[in-house]
Amino acid sequence: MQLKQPYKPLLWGLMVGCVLHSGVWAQQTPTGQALKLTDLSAFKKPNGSNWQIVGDASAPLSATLSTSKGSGVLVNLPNEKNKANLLSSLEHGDIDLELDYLMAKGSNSGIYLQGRYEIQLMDSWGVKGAKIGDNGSIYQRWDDKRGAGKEGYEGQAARQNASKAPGLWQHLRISFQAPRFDAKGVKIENARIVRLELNGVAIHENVELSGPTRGPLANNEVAHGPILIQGDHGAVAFRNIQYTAYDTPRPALTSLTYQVYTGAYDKEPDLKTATPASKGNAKSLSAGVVSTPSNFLIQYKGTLQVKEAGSYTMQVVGVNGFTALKVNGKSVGDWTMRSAPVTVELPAGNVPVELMYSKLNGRGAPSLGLMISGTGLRPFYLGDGNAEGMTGNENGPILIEANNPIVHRSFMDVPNGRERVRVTHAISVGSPEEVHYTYDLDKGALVQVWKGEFLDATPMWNSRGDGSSRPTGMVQRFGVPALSLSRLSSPQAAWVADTVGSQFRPKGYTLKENQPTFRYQSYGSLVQDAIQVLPGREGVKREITVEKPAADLYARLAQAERIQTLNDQLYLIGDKAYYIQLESGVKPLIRQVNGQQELLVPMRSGKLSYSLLF
Amino acid sequence: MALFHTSWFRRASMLASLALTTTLAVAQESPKEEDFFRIFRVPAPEGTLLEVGGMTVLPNGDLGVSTRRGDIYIVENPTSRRPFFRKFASGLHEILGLVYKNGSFYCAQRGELTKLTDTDKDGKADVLETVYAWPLSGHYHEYSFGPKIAPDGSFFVSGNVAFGNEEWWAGESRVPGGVG
Repeated sequence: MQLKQPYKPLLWGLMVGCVLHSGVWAQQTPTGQALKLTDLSAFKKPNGSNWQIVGDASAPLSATLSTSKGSGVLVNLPNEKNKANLLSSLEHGDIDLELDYLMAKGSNSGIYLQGRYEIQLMDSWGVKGAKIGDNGSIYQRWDDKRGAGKEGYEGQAARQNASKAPGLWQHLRISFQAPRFDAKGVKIENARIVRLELNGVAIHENVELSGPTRGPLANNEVAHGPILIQGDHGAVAFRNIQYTAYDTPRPALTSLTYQVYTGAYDKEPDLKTATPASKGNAKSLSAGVVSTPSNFLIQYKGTLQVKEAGSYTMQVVGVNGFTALKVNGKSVGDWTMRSAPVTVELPAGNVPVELMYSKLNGRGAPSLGLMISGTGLRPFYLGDGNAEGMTGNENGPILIEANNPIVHRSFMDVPNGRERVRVTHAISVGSPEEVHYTYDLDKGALVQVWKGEFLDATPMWNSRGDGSSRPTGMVQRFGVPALSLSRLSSPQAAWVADTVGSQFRPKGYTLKENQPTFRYQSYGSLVQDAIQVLPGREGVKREITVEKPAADLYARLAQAERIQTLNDQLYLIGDKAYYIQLESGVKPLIRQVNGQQELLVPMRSGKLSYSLLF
Repeated sequence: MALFHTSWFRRASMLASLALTTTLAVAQESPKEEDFFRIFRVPAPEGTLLEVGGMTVLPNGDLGVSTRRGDIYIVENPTSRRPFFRKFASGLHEILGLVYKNGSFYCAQRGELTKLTDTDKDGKADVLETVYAWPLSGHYHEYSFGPKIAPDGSFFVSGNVAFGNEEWWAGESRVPGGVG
């Protein structure tokens, strides 16, 4: 597991899945176990034939979900007689659960953690904002005794609507913490959704669940329970169900004592002869035992009560200072300004631990903590809270809202495999309909479209800044930007990659009601490119006009591993990622280039209009 | 790279205070800006984030102001007690320079020289024309400044260089003919 920079304990504190504010596309490789989907053996036998294992599922903007033979995809095709819920054989407590799902139009389902707490799955395409019954929301609780019309209570709506269109694969990541019970079985801590991401957007964090939501497997609460997938409402497909169960008990850090030394310690000191300025017992790890911002050394000694023997990973976090770590009397974390995670084998029982934190400079408030993770142990943090250790540059986020149509230029990073490409002449256009896009003025290309919140300009405007901003909603990217128009001497000719070949020249844009029409020159012709939000928030419509187009001019609308023709006008791009809809009568060309498929449209007429639905 | 942690805003004020210290060494009382210039305060509406990167005086005495946040304001009656701030353009990329010529504004954004014109006279720019765009690597330090208009009508824009991590002192520029 990737551990963070020592001067960023705030991230540690909140982090569960390592998806950070600063890494919007920080795609994680699932490290968990896969739920077997070659047959239904991972589940208790359902009370109906509505659950099946298939090879693929499709519901292209359609209420009907059709399947193809094979394995790897779990589908629910309910009817009047067969509409059972599905229960996993796995009984889980604390868990990270991650899966893909695809919904038929108008469909409704849900994932009940421990069979009791429901994350709503819903076709919420086109909905502005999100309510309690929308996709990704935590469904409400229900009690008939509360009286007519008041039965429903609690639950929590998603922060924003991060849903995709029906028939597209959506991705859900849940970090769930089970309720805690004392030795007598009395609940001492509520269950909680630690974090929930829908299609890469964090829509819940730290939501406490006071009890089972409506329609649970049972009304009691338990330490372990099965995953329940709702089967009685609508057609839905699942694949890539991965989980990490966390059943290893947390080691506790006890019997803490501290000693504070005054002075500038830039090397690991021998403290045998030094006299501490202060010392005492401590309830928890904290730099709060010093009152100066610098020139101190804190030494903590304590006992780690390890309940299960095994391998544990630890990292000391000391803001803007040197740290060192000793376990069982042995130095495992060297004296350094940049501590790294260290993995140690620990026996069950009491393990002595010693930490040092020395801070010479005055930057940032002193802040100290210890991060611990391990096999079956969800990473956790002991120490000072997030706000401590702020360096003064850590201002709140600078968010740009799109309450009115808005344009904003910035650098924009797009992922390219494991690397990123910085689009230097990007312009992002936001709408009050909450459908937004980024355009590359240097290529005349659509970079990305997204729904939900508009832009985070913190990287550009906080302090010195780096000139970039980021989308803050559910993003559909289109890869590294390339020219949209190219002349092709034959239908097999390579797409023109550079702007010199097409004499590309940006001309800026005009604004009408704050909506831009981009202008550039290509092969000597003036090109105008306008993108508008579709009614019903379904996506965007793009219109390209070329003055005096060459006879062999083409537009490239998509490039993906797979482009599927649904009908004359509708195309499904990539791994069921988004749709392209053409006007009637347009005859596109789908060609194979270097293992990729390309959707091209001849530009002889000088006009092209198409929609991106996502 | 601790050397560059200081923001360029702060760096500017540091340089100013350094200059002040030098002067102090030779004179009892250091000359201040107001010894050379008359300083006007232009009250801005509450909440306006200025971080001004360019200013120009229009032929009618209005003041054009460009900001790091990407706005261009026209301040009408700037020396009056209640100047009026009109937002002429917004969403531009960290503008550092502004001039006015023949009814249009020109400004340097990070990656281009832009001409802004209000053709429908509603007080806001509706044609934002790229006069020239230059390539960038996308480094934070690639700030572009200007334009300055030469007597022959040519526009001059200067660009800061980028620097990588190992040989940051060498600088790099993707602008044709660019030097450090």
